[in-house]
Amino acid sequence: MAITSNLNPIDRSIRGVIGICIMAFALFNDNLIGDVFIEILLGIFGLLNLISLFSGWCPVYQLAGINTRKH
Amino acid sequence: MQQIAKIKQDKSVRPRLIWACLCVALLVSAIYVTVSYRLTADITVRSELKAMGHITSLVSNELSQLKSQAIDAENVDLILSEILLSAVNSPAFITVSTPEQQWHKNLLISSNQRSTLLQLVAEAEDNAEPIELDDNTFLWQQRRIGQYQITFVQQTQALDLTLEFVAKRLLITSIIVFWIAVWLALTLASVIARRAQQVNESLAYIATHDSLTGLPNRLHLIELLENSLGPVTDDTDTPVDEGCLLIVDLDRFKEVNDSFGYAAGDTLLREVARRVSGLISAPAELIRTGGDEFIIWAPDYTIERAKTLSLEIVNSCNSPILINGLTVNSGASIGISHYPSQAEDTAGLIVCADTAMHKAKAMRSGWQVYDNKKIADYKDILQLRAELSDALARQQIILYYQPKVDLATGEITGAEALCRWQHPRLGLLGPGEFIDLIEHSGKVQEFGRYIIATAAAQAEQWHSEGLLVPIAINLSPYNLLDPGLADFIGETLQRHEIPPQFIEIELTENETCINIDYIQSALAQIRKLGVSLAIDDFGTGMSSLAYLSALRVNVLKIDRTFICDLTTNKGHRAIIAAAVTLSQSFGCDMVAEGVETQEQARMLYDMGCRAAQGFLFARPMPAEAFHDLLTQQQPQFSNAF
Repeated sequence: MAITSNLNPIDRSIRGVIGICIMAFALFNDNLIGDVFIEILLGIFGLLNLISLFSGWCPVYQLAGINTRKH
Repeated sequence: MQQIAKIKQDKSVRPRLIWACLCVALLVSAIYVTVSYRLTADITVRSELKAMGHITSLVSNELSQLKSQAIDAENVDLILSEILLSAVNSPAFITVSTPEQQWHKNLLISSNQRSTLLQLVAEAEDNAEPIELDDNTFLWQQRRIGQYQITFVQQTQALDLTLEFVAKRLLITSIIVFWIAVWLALTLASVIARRAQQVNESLAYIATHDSLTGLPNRLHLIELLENSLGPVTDDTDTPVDEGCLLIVDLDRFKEVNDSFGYAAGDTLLREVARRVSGLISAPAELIRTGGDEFIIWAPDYTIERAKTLSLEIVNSCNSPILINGLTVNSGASIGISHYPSQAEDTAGLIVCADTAMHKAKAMRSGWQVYDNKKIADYKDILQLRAELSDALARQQIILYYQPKVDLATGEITGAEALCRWQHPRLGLLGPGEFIDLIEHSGKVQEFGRYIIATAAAQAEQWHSEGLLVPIAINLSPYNLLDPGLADFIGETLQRHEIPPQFIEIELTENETCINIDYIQSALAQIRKLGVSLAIDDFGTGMSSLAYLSALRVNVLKIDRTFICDLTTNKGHRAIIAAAVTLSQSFGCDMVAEGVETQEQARMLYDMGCRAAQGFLFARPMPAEAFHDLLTQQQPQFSNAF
């Protein structure tokens, strides 16, 4: 599957905000979370959202055949 | 076809699947959080109880080390204070009781609270369940050593700690789990929906396509036409301004099937389908409607363009196809109907094209365009067909009578009963306008019986008035296929008390496919009743000489085509002369039909024909008029020639 943008700008920016917040939370609140495993999970989650922000592409949308860009 | 459209349009599966997956994900997350929380709380309570158990053991150990005389309030208080202060850091109290005495030590707890808690502990069944008091949670341990009962109650922070400690992680984890579940839901739903869509599409394809040629089938055609014709009603409509519908029927498919087998027939169909498909281009579509019949729906085609296409198709079907090493050409007949000038709906277009196709087949002309002028509007035909059953019930079919005249004397020797439909809307209809309908309506036998009964009733009436005129009834061979016909005629004659010689059966026939053996036996039964038999329209249709010998009829009625140009056509004169000789040899009478001039009558008489009917004498007339004619002074037509 080719990586072509499938995200609507709004969708993309919401993901961006979520991604940045989560990355920040995961990186700077070690003592609040208190578990490395959860930090890693959050990190992945945030990273994927950041990828969506930069590329405008969501792998799950691609798999599911959803495209919010058109609408 | 509406169902097929539904299959195609059903897109509700996907959102439903997504919602179902999301709900399941939420439910799983909730269950997971609850169970994890309870599990953690349980473990914490147990470990705390265990720790409290150690403290009560410590107290009991200390107490047991005291000498019995040293057990007084001071010592016990000291022990309890030491233990409480060193090992406990939350509100708690320890009570040591003997049957005689009771010692308490409180830590950050009031005496009131203590006594309430003691009471609650006394009521509690076991210590696994914490005791709730004033929004605080308390755990307790009780131990009995000798005469001492030690009760240790401590306020616990375990549940709050657990909530605080675990909830954070659980919440984050469950968000992540939920997020994964959403992923899964989307992916699963789309995969399943896509599969379902594929299945639907292949089902719709199977339902609308012919398996042999791969062409669309009738269902597809109807859906296509419904979408193309008339005003737009929904978003699948693609209306056209005009278009032609062509019905292509192979002329020799049956022969190929019969002589080379079904496999060869299939090959032929596939080849024809391939060739015809090559001749048309989108948006025109070739559809196989069954057997050897194809339909082409050509949107935006004018009749001229359709004619050109038909010519190409006919030529293509006439060029040989190689089957089993033999060349076969299937030939094709094409009927063309035009939208919207000839019909405006699906059924109309198909009926028109079908009518034209049959005409093309009959005329061997390759193709025909539906002709409004020559063929009555199919709607009228359909309506007449519907009214036909009513017509019989309401006795709208009446009989007209045309006299048969003895050429020598001018006397009326008989009457031919001819049916007319007294139609309430269209007036009097001749047999030409409805006999075909009857023969194709499955009512032909009922109709035959109706005519026989009506004629017999008339014969009875005339008979009772002393008018001894035999009535000839026209029956088609389809009537003779009625197994009870001979019995019915016998009963009718008996009921009306008519001698059998007053009824004559005339066999009209244009088609020759009826089983001659069966007809012969049916006629033999009728003849046994004493009813005389005649062959109508002799010289045409089934009246081949072989039949003439086999059927042993009493009367030959020579067809009007030979009479009308009798004076000028030498060939027809020769045929009439031969027929006269033939009738004399078979010992049967001969009647000439359609006599219109005195010259014709005289020539017929000279040739040896003794009886005739035709406009020269009288047109068919209602029973009353015929009755008047009969009661005139005889002979009625003495001045005919």
